[in-house]
Amino acid sequence: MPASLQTFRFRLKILAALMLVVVLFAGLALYVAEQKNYREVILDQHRVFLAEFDAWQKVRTARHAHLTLACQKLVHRPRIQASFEDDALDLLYPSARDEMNQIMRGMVLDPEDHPYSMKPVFYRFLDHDGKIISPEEITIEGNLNPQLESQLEVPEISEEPELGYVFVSSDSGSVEAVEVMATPIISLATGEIMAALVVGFNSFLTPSDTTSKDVSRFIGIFGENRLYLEQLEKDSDKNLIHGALE
Amino acid sequence: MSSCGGYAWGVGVFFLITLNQVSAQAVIEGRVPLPEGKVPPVMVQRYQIVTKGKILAPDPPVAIVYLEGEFSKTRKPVQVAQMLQKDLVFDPGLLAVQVGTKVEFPNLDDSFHNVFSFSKTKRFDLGRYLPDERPIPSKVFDKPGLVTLRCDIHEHMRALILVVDTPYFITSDTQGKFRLEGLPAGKWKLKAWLNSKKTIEIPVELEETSTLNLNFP
Repeated sequence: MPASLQTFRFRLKILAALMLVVVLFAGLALYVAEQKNYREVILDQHRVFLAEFDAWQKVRTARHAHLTLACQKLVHRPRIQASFEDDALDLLYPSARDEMNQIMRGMVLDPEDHPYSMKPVFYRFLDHDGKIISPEEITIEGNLNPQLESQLEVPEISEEPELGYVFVSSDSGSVEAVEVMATPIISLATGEIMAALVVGFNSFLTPSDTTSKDVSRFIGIFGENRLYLEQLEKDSDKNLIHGALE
Repeated sequence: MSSCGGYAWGVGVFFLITLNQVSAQAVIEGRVPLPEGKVPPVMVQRYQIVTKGKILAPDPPVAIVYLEGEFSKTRKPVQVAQMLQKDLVFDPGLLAVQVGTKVEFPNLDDSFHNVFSFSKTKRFDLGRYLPDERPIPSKVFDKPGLVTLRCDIHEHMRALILVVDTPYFITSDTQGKFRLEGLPAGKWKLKAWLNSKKTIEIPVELEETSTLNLNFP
């Protein structure tokens, strides 16, 4: 075998080995870069989610603060206080209608421009023992079935405002989550708890974000061993709900 | 003939009035034991009516002492009383009136007031009005009992009106001392209203022109 051929083969092997090494290193480098990029994307999404969630929580906190103020303003009204202190429960709901109208008027904004504004759905009073005081007639109080009314009752009225959710079924079969604020009615003269006001508001659920092809964000409420996602409820896609629970 | 008849009628009225004056000269004076009042923490007292366990009581404590019985023939004519709204409080914080008395509610502040009552004895709502409102908003209290007054604009404003079915009543001083004058002779009940849940009473027998010294137990 001529020397030149041997040299050529050797050079070819060296070249192949070098190419293999280069390809291996390039592949490794690409893999590492991709992994790093993937982690950064995940971290970015996590940061975005946390920022959005934090902003959502802040808006929710501000909304609750506004809700608490509105309810406390209502329960301090002299006519509401007088209804309980002077045993004039027959004047309770007629008085509350005027007061609710005045207070809620400032709350209800045009849903076109303010889709997340508060909208009262119903209100009821609880007596000192936490039992429902039913209105003699329903005008702006909101219709509630007996089962839902019983859900609003409490064994003992808390000294602090409490927030919760109830789930209202509509005639069409859909379920709506209603945010409920229970505010104690405390006598301004004695400081004693006389009753409570329970007001139901539309829940604060932002629309689901499905703008990204790969990532979808849903905000829902977990209650009564169920996850209520507004968007999915409308789409009747319950599989994800059950999957998430399992 | 008619002038003669008129003369006879006039004598009759005079005779009745004289009888009435003669039979309503007794006096009761004494003292009602009052609960200790709270010392106002500020110069301008914000709450004149204090409540504890749904009991409404004036602060500082005073009592309304009244004579109860059948006084139909000696009933005094209906008068006009006033419950002022001044410096964003009701004045007086506790007012006693006879059944049938018209109570006026003049507003002496520069702002609106809205006096109302949800009490079963008398429910009313005078609406919002300014000091220059004429005629002065008023109500006739035609049933005996206790009426809690409030202002719909100023939540701290409260007052009580005790409507009694007797012309013989007086508000004691803050020491509990009282003096009821011009009382008719006979057997009556002397009552002392202390708060919305407590009225004490003792039987009394009065003679014409007598003065009875009497302290409630």
